[in-house]
Amino acid sequence: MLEFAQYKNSTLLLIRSAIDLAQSQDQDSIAGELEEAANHLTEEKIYIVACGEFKQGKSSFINALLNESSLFPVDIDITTNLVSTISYGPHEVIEVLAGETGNIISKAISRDEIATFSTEQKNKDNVRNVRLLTIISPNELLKDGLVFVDTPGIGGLNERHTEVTQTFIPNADAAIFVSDAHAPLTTSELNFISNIAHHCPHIIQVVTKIDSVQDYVKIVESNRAKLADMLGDGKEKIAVVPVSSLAKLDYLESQDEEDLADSNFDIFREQLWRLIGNNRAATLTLHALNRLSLAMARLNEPLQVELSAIEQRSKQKLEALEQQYRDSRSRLQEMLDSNTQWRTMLSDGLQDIRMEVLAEFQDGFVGINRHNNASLDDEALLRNPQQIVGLLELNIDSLMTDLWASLNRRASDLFGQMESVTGLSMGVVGLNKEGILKAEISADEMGTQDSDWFAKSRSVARGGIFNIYAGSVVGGVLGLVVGGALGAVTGGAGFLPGVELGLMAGAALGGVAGIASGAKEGLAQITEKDRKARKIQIVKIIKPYLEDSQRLCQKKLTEATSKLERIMRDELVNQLREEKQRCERTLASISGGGKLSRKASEERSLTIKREIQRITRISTAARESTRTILSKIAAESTHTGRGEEMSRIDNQATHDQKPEIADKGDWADG
Amino acid sequence: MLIRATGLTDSVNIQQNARELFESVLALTQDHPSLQELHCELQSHYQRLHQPMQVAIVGKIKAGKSTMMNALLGEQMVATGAEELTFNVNWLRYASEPFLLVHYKDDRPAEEKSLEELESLTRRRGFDMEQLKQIKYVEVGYPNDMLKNFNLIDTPGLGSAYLDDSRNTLDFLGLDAHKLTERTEAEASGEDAILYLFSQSIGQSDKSILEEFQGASIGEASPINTIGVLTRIDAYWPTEDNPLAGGQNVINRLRSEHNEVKGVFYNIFPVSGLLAFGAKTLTREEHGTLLQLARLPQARFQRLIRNVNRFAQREYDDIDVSPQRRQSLLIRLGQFGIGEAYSAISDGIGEKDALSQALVSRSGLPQLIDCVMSHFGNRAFLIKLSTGLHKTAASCFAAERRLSGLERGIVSQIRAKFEAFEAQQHEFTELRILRSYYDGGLEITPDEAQHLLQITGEYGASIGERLGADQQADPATLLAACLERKRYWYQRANDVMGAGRATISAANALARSYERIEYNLSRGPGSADRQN
Repeated sequence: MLEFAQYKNSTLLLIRSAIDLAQSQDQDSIAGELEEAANHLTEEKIYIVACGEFKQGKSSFINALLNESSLFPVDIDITTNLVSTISYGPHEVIEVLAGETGNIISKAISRDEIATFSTEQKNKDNVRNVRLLTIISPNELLKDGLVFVDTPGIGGLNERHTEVTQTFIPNADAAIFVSDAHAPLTTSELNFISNIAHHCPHIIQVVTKIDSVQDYVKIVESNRAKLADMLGDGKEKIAVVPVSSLAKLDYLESQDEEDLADSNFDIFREQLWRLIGNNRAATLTLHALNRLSLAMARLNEPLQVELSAIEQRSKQKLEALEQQYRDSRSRLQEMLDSNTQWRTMLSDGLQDIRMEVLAEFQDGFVGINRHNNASLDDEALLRNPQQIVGLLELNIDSLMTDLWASLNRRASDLFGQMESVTGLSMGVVGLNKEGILKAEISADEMGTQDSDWFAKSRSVARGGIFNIYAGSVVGGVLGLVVGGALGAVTGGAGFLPGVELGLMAGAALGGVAGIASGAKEGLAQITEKDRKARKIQIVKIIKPYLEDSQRLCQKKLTEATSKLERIMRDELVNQLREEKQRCERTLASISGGGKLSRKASEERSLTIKREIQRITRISTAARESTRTILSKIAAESTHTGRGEEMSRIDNQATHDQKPEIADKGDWADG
Repeated sequence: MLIRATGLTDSVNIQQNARELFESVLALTQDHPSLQELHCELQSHYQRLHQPMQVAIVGKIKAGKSTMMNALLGEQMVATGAEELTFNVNWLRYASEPFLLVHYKDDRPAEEKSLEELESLTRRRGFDMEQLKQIKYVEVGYPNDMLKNFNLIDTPGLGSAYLDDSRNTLDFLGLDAHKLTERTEAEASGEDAILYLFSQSIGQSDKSILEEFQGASIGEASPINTIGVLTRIDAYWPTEDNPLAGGQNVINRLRSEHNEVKGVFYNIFPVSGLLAFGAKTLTREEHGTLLQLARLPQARFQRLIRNVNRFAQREYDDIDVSPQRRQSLLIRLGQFGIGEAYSAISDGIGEKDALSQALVSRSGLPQLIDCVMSHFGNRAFLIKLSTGLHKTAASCFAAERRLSGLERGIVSQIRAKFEAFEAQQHEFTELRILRSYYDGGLEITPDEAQHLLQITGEYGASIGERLGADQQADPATLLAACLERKRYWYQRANDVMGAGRATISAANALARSYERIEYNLSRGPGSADRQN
């Protein structure tokens, strides 16, 4: 399991020691920047959604997973009817959010009251109008940023349940599909998995209740075969893991190793971490490491320059150096002024993206309309018009998911272009293009210039910034459901900009689901028997539903591109500002260095060398960690043939030398 | 002579009246060659009145019908054991010597086969699909005492869209779920009573279960003749220490939250068919194994039984019962059953028959049988007659369409006779009131509902039982009780502002029921001997 947690923890320690270093050098802005990177890493969440049919042991499973004997109510006659989230916090706080959108009231409740709000038996058809149950728990297992979303069962006939579940699963970092060992997966369960696999490839199928079925292995094999059959060759295999929640919960009391072994939960956790640890979690860590490297380089550069100023003693060279930094400073200042070229380029680029994405969107809706017309001629569907809406929902969901991904890809490319236009892509040594100071500053020692890994990790991390995180889409849906009050679930101040976009994507999808439920209610009331008249009534409801959905999605897409412009501009301005400050610091150090007496110079030179050594130690550790994570991602994607981005990393990483495991010991005290 | 024996003279009357009616119409149809078919049908409907009740077992595929059948009979019925045969209708009735008759869909005469032959017929290797498809039903005679009370009809089961996994077997037989449901419904509609089996543990919401109850409009299914059985409750263990009580909670909630359930079932019982059957047929060796296991310390035994794989597969130094023996025990009694046996033995119930009885009582089966006996048993004749009249009406309707002229006139005459009979017999009125009570159509208090159930024979057919009086009460006390209730219901019937029309007319009818008892009581104890 602990692979990701280890990277994350070691990265956090690394950042902590870097903050100390920055503070000792009175570089408060760099320290602040590092604080923020640490916050991002700590507060980012990984969403795992549990789903499955009714009465398959889902609640027991989550209890057992979290070592909580009675968090979620488990009873033969209890079925969960509410979405619940469980995330980390220093003290246990359980809240229900109830009411209509825009007028949500949160209420703290005790553990014993959970059943009162979250079960079909005590809160039938959700008469209490509860939107969400949030549990914050000091549970150690959640400390790494895991958020579990427990959903009501799918299947059955309760439309509301199915809707809620289907909105969440496509947007999760990982989904756990629960079925019990009493029966193999049914066709409807397989169909469900097949649907979500399109959106969320990281699925584990958990087979529960193996304590009560002798030949559960047969069921597990059958599920495995069915899933492999359904997904076909070349797709990532879905792991099927048998577990006994009963044995795990027994273990909490007995501490008997037989119970733990029988529970098989160790295997499950291994699988889960293999699945999530190597993609999003890795990206998050890379992003933090990248910022760390940049910060270290920024700390380093003035020191290097100052050192060479002290040691060079050549007036001519010093002046040239000073001039170069002055030039840089004024170039940066120019770029910070309004009406500069890059701003126009950014606007134009985003305008292009907006046009392209909207064109894709229009095309997509033409297809959906065509598909819908075909549905309206289908006899079976006309008898069950709610199914038509269900199909439309899936289609829209699928289109929007693809569009957000496409938007993300384009935004990330554009940002890369902008970085090179502004010179930011060269990193901190970008200003040395004439090579005057190359030898003196020895940027290569920092490993930030020529090596591939920097560009690579920067590209991955850039993806990270604008990635419309699956998790934040979940947050967005929650946001729509409860209208705010989401700090605990979506992360607090440490939001990455992408989260905001994700919230929009979620709001769009959640809104579509909301419109759909209205349409379904209307359709359920159609009693007309005559085929033609019936069709007319159905069209009357479906047409405005489609139009409303289209309008809503278009609005959200447009909003997202506008927001993207603001986010990118702010991010670039921020970076330019930091670069400018760096120039100023360096200039100050050059003039300071020139004024020192010989003895003072020698002392200063020694101090600087020590400081540089400390910086180098941290940078080296950061570089090693980055390499290790990149090669892990590459290895994973070779095995599983996952998405495009991962394959790209794979190709690049093959140029790299074999990774060594990062040394996690000696840098921290440096 | 005990007052208790004071019979239900009405019942005697209705039997006598029914006999006279059928004899008269049989005489009418006897000599007309073109009425021969109707004559035979009427004769068979008449004969059914003297046969045991026909109880159909209905439920989805895999609801545990075969297990329940075996549990009711207390022995393994070979014919129902084979998977393919459960897709046929099996009609089990009492016979002193076992026999097996295969009835075909075409005109072929029924063929007698041995049980072994039947089994070989269903074996997959080389078995003749076509021949199996030709079978209409399999009639099995068996010397089992339970069958003296009831004939049991095992139906193929209701197909369900949710049970895709039973489809393989269905495809193999060339049947689809829809056809199967149709066939089951058709079969069950002809029966006097229905046991509807369902299990909640299959993983469906309550709503879908209810949907099925409602969807399966099986002929005349109504609370009068349908009893629900919540099966496989042993699967609730160990989440629930007492699955019987747990099952009862599930049922109570279903009944209180869903009016539809009240409209379909007279009552619902939680039963573990597995435990009931295993306990009824407990072998000496199994008993020995249980005694041996009971010597384990409580905590050790609990650890063992909580996990089937431990229990049935692992060797332990401190447990001297081999995994093989544990496994065969597990198959027969289940985890819950073995746990119950352990605690029963710990409570001192170690002797085999006593243990077997204790376990049967914990399976929920006796309560079900008691209810079937009292609910169906006390009204057996009326229910059979009701079914008979229903079928007669259908036969007449078919004959009328076929015939013309004089013969048609005779059939119309017969139909009118039956209609008049049904209208005149007060018992059918009572049955209708009972039905509308179960459908929730009456506005009455719980106390009044008790009167209604008593007077319509729910708790027994004697006058004492119908008045809800003490079994030892003397005639004067009975008469007083009867008059009081008569007055009460007439008063209720006059309170036209207090209730809807259905309730008013039911109150009137009930008052008349008391009037009839009053009449019988006032005729004196002489009538007592005539009870059936």
